[in-house]
Amino acid sequence: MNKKQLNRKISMKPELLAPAGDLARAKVAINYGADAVYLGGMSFSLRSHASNFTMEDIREACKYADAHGANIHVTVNIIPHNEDFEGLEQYLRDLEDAGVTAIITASVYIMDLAKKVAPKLEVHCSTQMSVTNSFTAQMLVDENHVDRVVLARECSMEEAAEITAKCPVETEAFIHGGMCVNISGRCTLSNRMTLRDANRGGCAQSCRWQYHLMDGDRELSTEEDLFTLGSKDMMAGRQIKQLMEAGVASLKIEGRMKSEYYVASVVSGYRHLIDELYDCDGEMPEERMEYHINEITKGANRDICPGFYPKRADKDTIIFHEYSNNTVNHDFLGTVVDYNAETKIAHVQVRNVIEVGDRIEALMPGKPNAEYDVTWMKNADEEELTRANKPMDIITMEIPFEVHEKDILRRLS
Amino acid sequence: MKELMTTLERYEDFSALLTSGVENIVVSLEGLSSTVSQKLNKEELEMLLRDVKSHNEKTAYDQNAKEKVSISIRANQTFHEGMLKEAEEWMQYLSERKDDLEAILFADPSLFYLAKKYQMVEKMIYDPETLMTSINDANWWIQHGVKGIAISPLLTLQETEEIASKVEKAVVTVHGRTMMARSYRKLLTAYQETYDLDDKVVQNKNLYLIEKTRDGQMPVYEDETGTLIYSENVLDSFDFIEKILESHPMGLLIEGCYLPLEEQLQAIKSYRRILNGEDPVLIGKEYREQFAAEPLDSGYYEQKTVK
Repeated sequence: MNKKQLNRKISMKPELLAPAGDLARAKVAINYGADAVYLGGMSFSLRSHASNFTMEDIREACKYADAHGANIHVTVNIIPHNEDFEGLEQYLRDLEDAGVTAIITASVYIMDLAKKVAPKLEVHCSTQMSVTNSFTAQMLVDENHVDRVVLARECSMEEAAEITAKCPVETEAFIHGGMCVNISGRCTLSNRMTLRDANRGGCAQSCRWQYHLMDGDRELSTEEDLFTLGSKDMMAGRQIKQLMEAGVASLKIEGRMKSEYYVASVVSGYRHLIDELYDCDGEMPEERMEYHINEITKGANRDICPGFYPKRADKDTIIFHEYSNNTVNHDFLGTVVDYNAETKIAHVQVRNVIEVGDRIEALMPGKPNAEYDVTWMKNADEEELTRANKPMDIITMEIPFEVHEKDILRRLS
Repeated sequence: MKELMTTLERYEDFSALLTSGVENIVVSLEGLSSTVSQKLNKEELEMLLRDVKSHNEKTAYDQNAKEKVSISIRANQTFHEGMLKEAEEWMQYLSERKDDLEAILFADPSLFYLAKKYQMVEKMIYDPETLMTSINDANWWIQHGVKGIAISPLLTLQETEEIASKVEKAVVTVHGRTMMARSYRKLLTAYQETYDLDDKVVQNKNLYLIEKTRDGQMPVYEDETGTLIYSENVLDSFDFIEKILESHPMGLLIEGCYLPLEEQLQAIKSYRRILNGEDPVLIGKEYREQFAAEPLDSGYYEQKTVK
């Protein structure tokens, strides 16, 4: 580290770690600036409803990541029962052979096993271990030789900084996405009510259901406002600077079940924010911060909060209405299929209703976003359209700047 | 030896538990425990340790007296960085009293780190409620010197037996309400503030939740450590206890949370009689008749969760 770096408040640029539910989303995440992607295999992983990866997919993801200077982490994060270990040793060896950088796990046995049978794999302790203090972090390093400690989402900014300062290995912190309202791994609402094991990928999200709150025979809740526990999603854009100053090595986006558009939008937003914060050593004007927060939240489809970073999460972090949890995001309009730079004509695959007159923003990996107005559109039969409303149809339109295959188009207004 | 264990819910219940037939009473402490059970301070713990010593001295001379009793500590809180100082002070103190303590049941690995520092790993029982679900993970802890592990009460009878028989240092929860969820958030206060309720929601043991399409009443409790939700049903193991005993667990825990003292004492008496060789089916029938209004069930023994 040179003298100039020593004088900086932000001494290193952290890894941006993005989720992927399938190979396409892994590539999108990498294209839009993720330094690493985490994904789940067909076994041993939570999020059983995400479209998990075959070993062949994992190999291809590793090749793609390698070619783009990125890394692949694989979740092996079920809380295993006796029946869940079959094939695990071979699986870990296969991950190592495939070129996976790290596994993420919450089982102390799996941590040791990975070190033994696949020593090239880094072992990252999962957030399921709820690391909220430096003694636990130290214990995991001493006893399990973990290479990275993933902090619990319940950590405040002060705690994240203090643990990172004391932890002998690097730390990783969540910055965006869904949050369990309960301590990770310590909730069995789903198990009890649906027999779906939350700690083995079957969570039914019973925390988001509605409950009567009773005090003896008297109801404290009302029919209109029943008690619920669902948490708002995390959006820690305003806390990135402090996390970078604290030296957190990896900033993680949650959401292996999210869409390509969500992945592209959120990864792109944080990529630009992190790069600019690093370049200005954290001295970012408020209007630039506002810009980045706006970009990041364009992909959000649930209410957001900064989690526990500013303070212990309170009423402002809970969603009290059952049906406000999910809103369909209509901003994702289409993806570019191809583009002729001479004619400025693009083929676009329609994903949502596009109308002539729409103001559109193109998300382009590695480049600033750019805007244009839709002046005309034609369908595959060369017929003029004022409205394109058939999802997956290919249409043509003029785009006044250069775009590339897979670039994402979204509505601005 | 299978030790019969139960939790102390209220300080004033201690003398009744002392002569109830349990060998081990699990006590919660301020700053170490996250539970609806009353959390004691150091002076109260000292009083209990004196009472136990006195009780055990009497039993040494009285052939008709009940079994000797010991005290364990429920240290199940998840510790945030700012809580470590208090946790360490407790662990240092407990290490000085370790000859008078049977065990410390812990969930956060930071206490294992401190137990090593204060040379009391052999007193530690890893009890993370939901996370102890396999022989392999159980053995990892045993190989690292702990006194035992507490099997998650989320497992089938077969899984419970498998772990207990292989590990031989397992505590099995056989009776009572079990923990369903714990949050670091103050969820009842959040609801109260949002809807301007005047009612007392903090440290109120009368509160429970009913999911809007179901009938089960799940006790919910909030204090400084966060929010806890307990099972709507009271686990009983009378129909399964013979199998459990065949797997040679180290201890059988009767969880006292939300049980009236009378019911807790009767549960202890019932399992004690079974350990003394009486017929569990008959004893279970008697118990269920006596507490017919209670939502007794067999937990997950016969219900396998799916992924």
